[in-house]
Amino acid sequence: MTDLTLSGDAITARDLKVHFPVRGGLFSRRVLPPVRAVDGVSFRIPRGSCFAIVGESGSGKSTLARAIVGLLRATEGEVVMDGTDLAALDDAQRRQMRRKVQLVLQDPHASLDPRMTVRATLREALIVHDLCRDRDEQDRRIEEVVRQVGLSISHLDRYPNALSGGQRQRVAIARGVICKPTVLVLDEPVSALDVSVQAQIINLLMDLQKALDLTYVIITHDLSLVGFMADDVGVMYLGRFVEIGPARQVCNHPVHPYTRSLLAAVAGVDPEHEKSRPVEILQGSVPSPVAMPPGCTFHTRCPLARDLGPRLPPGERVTVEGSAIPALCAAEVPEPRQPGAEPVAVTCHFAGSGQPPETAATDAADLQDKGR
Amino acid sequence: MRRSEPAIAPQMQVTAGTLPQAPEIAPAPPRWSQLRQILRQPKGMIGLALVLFYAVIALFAPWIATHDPYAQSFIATLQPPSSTHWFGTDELGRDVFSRIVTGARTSLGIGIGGVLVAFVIGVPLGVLSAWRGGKIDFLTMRAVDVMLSFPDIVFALAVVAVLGASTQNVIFAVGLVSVPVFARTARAVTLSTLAEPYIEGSVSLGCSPTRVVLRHVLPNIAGILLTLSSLLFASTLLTASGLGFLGLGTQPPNPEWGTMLGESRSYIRTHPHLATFAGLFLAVSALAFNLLGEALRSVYDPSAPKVQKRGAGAWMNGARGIAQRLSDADAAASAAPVETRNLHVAYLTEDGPLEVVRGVSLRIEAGRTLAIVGESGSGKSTLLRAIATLLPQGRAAISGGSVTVGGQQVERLNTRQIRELRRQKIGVVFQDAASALNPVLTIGDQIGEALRTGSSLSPDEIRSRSIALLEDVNISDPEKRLAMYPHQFSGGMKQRIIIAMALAQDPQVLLADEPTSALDVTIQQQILALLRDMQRKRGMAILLVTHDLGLVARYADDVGVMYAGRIVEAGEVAEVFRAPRHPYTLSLRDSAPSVAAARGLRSLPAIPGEPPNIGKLPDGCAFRPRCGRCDGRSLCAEAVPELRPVGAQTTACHFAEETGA
Ligand SMILES: Nc1ncnc2c1ncn2[C@@H]1O[C@H](COP(=O)(O)OP(=O)(O)OP(=O)(O)O)[C@@H](O)[C@H]1O
Ligand SMILES: Nc1ncnc2c1ncn2[C@@H]1O[C@H](COP(=O)(O)OP(=O)(O)O)[C@@H](O)[C@H]1O
Ligand code: SF4
Ligand code: SF4
Ligand SMILES: [Mg+2]
Ligand SMILES: [Mg+2]
Repeated sequence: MTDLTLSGDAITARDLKVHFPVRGGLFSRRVLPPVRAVDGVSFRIPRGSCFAIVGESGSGKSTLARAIVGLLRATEGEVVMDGTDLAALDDAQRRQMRRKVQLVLQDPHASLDPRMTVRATLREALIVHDLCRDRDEQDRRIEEVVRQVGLSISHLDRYPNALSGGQRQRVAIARGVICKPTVLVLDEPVSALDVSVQAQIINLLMDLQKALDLTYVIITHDLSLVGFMADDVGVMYLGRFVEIGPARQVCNHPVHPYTRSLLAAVAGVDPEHEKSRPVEILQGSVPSPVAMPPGCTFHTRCPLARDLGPRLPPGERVTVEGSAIPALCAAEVPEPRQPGAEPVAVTCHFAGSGQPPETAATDAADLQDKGR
Repeated sequence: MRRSEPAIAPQMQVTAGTLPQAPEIAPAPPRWSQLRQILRQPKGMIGLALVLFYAVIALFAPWIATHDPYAQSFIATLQPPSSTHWFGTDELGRDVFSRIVTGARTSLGIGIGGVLVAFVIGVPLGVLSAWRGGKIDFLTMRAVDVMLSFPDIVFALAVVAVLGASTQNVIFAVGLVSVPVFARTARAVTLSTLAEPYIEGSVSLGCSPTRVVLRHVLPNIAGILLTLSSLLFASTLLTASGLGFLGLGTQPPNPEWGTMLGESRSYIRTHPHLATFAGLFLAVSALAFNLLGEALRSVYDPSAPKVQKRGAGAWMNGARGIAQRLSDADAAASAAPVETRNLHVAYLTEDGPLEVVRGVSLRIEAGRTLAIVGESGSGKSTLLRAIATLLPQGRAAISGGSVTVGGQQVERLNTRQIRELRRQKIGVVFQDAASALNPVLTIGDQIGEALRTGSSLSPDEIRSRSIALLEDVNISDPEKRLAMYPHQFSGGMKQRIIIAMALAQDPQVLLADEPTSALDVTIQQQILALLRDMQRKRGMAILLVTHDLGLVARYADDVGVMYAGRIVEAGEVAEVFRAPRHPYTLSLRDSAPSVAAARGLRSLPAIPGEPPNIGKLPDGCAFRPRCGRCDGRSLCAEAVPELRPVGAQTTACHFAEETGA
């Protein structure tokens, strides 16, 4: 505890779990297992750095983000922010904290009030956080922010419905930065924007970070963005980090089979290269966190396990949905370990330990480096 | 009214059946859970209890009444409350308690009748004006404004004065008074519901307007209208009592609380109990319905206090009308599945028409995919909607040029033919899968509807076809899935279901507006690979609007780059991406984080300046203020560059032969 609070970390989480209770029907007596949306994650985010959380939808990214900003209470474990344990705060103190930590939500359609103009939406943020008292001052700040996010003043008096999807997303981002927070949690901040705007927003976010010493937590499924923006990255699957470490290392030399599949899905802009390369798309989607697969939670989809399984003697493999995988994968939960010199923790029995085919790692690294 | 917080996230996500024993979680039946939500609030509990109490009184009045409410007794007039006459007697010696109990029926009946009248007139009016827009909408709303500017009681008085005093006329009068409020609210909520992508989805399937209203709009606005009814009940009751008090309501000797209050006027000083009891019952009943209404309101409408707010004009912006207005433009039929010629589309704003698509000509051959990329606000979605025949009616229109789909020129078709065209030839997939499905219908219902419109399949055939469709889009265990509701699926599965529905009628053309932008990389790839397979099997033409150049590189054959309503560069993807000729395309390609990361840049080469404001474009080339190539050359400001062949593609830049942005 002490070593965590004394360090220069903006946020530390230790063995954080967020479970949602599941209710049966009205009269049902069944006791249902909870939804284990976040199931034991630990990380530290140094002040002024950018931490990215990646993973498919349903892997628990948004839930983790909400726990970080204190919108959800941790079921177990702790989130320490600037030396304060979030769990120890009452509701009023939490609201106080919220001023410093802003969340930019994923879906601007749902998060912008259709009956408020852009100006009213932004003014509300200022009023709620009691920032600029004076109306003129508010207007000045609003206009400044609006320009920063690449909208024009003429958009201020429009309703969200008269804005295009991208314009709406910018309003949502403007609302996040208008209060000058110290930590900004961005839930897929640019996934709805087109590339040219993405670039502007990313540059803007990076400039802001430098100017205001902001700490970022970026939730995204775009790994190319991670490689560009983040200092550290955690790859999440079913509520746990399967690979966590410095972003450059993880993006250029992914070790865990899940990270590698995600990277393979990222398409570059070179049509010849993209059309000639067979893409191995991960099949299916994240299983329900109500019924976590036993052993390694990724074993139901893991390409590495499917690669290794058939080469093992019959006693050491099991058949899951028609493919042979190592028995170990279905039986035992892998512990995080560091496969190389870099401070990367990987949660897999096999990856990076020399046994798996070495070619795959170079492939993926290759893909990152190529001019895509 | 709208989903406002992702906290209402689905209880669980159903996965592609990777696990054998995933427990099934039955959602609580919606009605009971709503009742529980009402009872959880003190106002809901009290309101409901009081309303039930009144209902019991009204129903069992003859048994509850201790005396004959009409029996006069001149020896016992104006007696104070006693053990025989609990509420005393009135000026004719009738038992006040029995009269109040008996009067409950008439009083509450007036309230209910009045609300019914208002509902039956106001709701269709509101829905119609939201639906049709244009003149009908304008006229209705002006009439509503005029009616709302009179105080309720004055308006009701006028009506009763004309029709004569009787219980029926009172019901009619107080009902009429509430019509404007109903009409206005119904219009507002209909507009917001019409803006939901799932409505667009069902319209694009070719559903008739009646069906869309009955199946999709009404169920979704019912909760709010119920709330409003309950709130208006109180005010209706009070207006009716006001009439009664003035002697214009129910006629003596029939008991009715308002009338009783009126009769007690002369004795208010000497025998206050007469007014007290009638007044109390009246006030408490109004309060009861108000409390219940408030409780309902917080269940159905999270942004409650704004429902009746005036100035519903803002809703205009969100309106999605249905069929598009037809014009008599002329063009020859063509064989390509999709062709537009010099297409112009304008939004009809308060400041006049605003042209956001300004002369687009494109053609998609069968079996090919054309991707449209461009900045947000450049008009991609508007272009797609124009081709889909889904421009919001009365709010946007084709202002020039033509659209031809499957050899039929859409401007020449009548409403019924357009519906046929949508049903048979066009499939549409929008971005937001979560809201593109109707939350109150099962997947089976919705796919069934897509299959059923305009065909005569038996229920069994529909079922087997639905199952086949789900199999086509790789959804495991389709038999079971048919009975499930949208919230029980993950985002990627919902999008695949939408695709299944779009493909239900074997369209020639699939129009996809950012079909995967809301989804994660894995699912994105799965969906686009699926679309590509479907295209190979069925030979569809696909129009793909996206902002992900990586997806374009991987999945599209041709690409059109749009800027400020025009296509500025078009050609085969390989050519355009290899050697972009337009400075905008060039910057677009180079501003991708992956490209910048590969080149080791610390900041992304973003396109400078603000996105174009489509109402105030500069003279000459629209890209000029942000163009690094122009360099102050006057030609760029003087002439609009036309698309012309440059290299292997076509480009709209005067200096396309130069390189560099
Ligand atoms: N109902 C409306 N009334 C007035 N203007 C509108 C309306 N809907 C859209 N617009 C304007 O029309 C232009 C084009 O919008 P459109 O939605 O077609 O853009 P888009 O290219 O699809 O953008 P995005 O990539 O963000 O989806 C924008 O300037 C937008 O503000
Ligand atoms: N309020 C909630 N109640 C029950 N389950 C939830 C709730 N919120 C999220 N979940 C579930 O938790 C898991 C993780 O969700 P989320 O954090 O939104 O993932 P991501 O952001 O990575 O897409 C999902 O299976 C989701 O269905
Ligand atoms: S432990 Fe087995 S199943 Fe899990 S990621 Fe490693 S190889 Fe795959
Ligand atoms: S025409 Fe001129 S302003 Fe327009 S893109 Fe070409 S160089 Fe730039
Ligand atoms: Mg999320
Ligand atoms: Mg769009």
